[in-house]
Amino acid sequence: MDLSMKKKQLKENPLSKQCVTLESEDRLSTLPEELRRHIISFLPMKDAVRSSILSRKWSRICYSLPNLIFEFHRFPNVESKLDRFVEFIDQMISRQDDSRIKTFKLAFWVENETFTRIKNAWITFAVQRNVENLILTTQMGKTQSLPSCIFTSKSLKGLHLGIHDLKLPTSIDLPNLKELVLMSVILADHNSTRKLFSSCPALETLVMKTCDLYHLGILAISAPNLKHFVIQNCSGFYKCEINLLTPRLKTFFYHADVPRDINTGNIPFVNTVFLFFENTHPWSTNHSFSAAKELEQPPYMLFYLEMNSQDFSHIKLLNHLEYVEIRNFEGCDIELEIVEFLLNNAKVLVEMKLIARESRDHTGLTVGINCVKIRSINKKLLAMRRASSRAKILFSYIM
Amino acid sequence: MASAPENEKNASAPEKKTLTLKSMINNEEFVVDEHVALQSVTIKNMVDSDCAGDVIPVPTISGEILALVIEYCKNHANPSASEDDLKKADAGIVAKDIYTLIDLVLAANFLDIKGLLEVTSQKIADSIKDLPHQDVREIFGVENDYTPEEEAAVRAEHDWAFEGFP
Repeated sequence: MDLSMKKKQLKENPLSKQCVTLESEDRLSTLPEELRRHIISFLPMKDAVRSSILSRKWSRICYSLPNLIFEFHRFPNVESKLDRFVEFIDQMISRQDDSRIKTFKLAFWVENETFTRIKNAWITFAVQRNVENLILTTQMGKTQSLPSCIFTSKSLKGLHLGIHDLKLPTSIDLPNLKELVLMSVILADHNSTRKLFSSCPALETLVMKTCDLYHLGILAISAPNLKHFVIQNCSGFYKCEINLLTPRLKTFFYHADVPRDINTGNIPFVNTVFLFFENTHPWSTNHSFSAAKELEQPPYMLFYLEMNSQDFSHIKLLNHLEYVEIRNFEGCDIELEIVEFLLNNAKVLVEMKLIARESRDHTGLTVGINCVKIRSINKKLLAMRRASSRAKILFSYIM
Repeated sequence: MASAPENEKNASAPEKKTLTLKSMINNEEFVVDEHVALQSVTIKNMVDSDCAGDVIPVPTISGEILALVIEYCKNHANPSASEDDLKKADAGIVAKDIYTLIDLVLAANFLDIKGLLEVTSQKIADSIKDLPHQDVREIFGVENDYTPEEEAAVRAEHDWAFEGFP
């Protein structure tokens, strides 16, 4: 570019005057292509696309982005939004250069056979270009299924499927998959589900959120390298048996109703288990506690850990446990036993919150907390030995 | 008397080497522990291949920027720093005006410090995100070499993305 023009321009421009030395001003325009692309890759799609208007040098950067994120709900509400969205993705895909595609995300909830075919063409493109992370939240419709090439990809490291009518193919082989997230998936066939989990030998993290297991019967997971397993807000577990063959499991976060049964084989390395059983199955039935006990040695825990982020990599181990919250606390012996266990062992515990609620059974009799009980519980709580000198117990109740 | 313990200290920890980085823009020098400086792959390669003398000249990076880079490297060389601490410290380093950030991203790229490149790029992207392209051109010093017809065509291609922008 014309240097004297540029300097003149900068001198006349009050915004540019603020910047440091002239040398650095001149370097701004020579930001290397690779660096420009890198910066643009941090922008949302819309802003990345807008960068093409800056100059000829910038015109093709949006066709070489490592992350292709297509979200219908974030697409501006322009006239004939649906057509424009589809057109946009088609255009982006047909103009992609040979750069590596790291992540491909498609969030698109429009049920229509034509769109399903288009969607599958896009997904196939990403898989053929050796995408590493594939995030799909969409629906397939009655007769359609995802392109089967997804399930035999050698490049996939992360797969997030938010597809409630997910149909699994007969042939699954994902040798490099490390993270699998299932969101709102209806898991109904235990054979194909088991096959999915056992066809990912490198799997380290498995997350199941808001999945429906009413008709699954058995959730069998055989994953030799699984380290983190999260079950959150799933339904139907009370009808389901969990069979885990996961020798390297380190953290198990469980937040769902009490499963019919848990078989853990022999898990030697579980050092943290987070369990929160919904109050549809009262603790007093003993069911929940015995199920947890089966999970090998302590430390087992029955509580709901209030977390600041959705990122489960921040799950604190018992040695780092600072906050515990137990809801629907009734003060029965089993619960007190768990509270005592935590107080005795959590060395850096700051606060334990117990939230009690008076409850009545179907005959109208009080079965939970009452005034007399509160006193005796308080006494017991105060007598418990605390491993952490900072540990505070907050006991609140609603009458 | 005073030198004796110092000698002893040197003798017991002879592996603690330092390097001097010198900005070739304003000749400012920085003495840093070797393990701090080695977070730069560029410097590491120089040291590994014995290309580094007592003073390592750093071209095109001003002392002001080099100080920020060294601050980043020091933070990340501290084994006891928690992830949260580092995040906070990183946020402090990139809380700068856009021109400093561009100098910093060029420095991170030249010195090949991946983490610094990431946080700086993210910060630049965040700060240009909702700006009209005219402002982005100004900030990056980009000269618009499109003809008015070409510019209109580029805009028409993705007109949805330009809704609400002049």
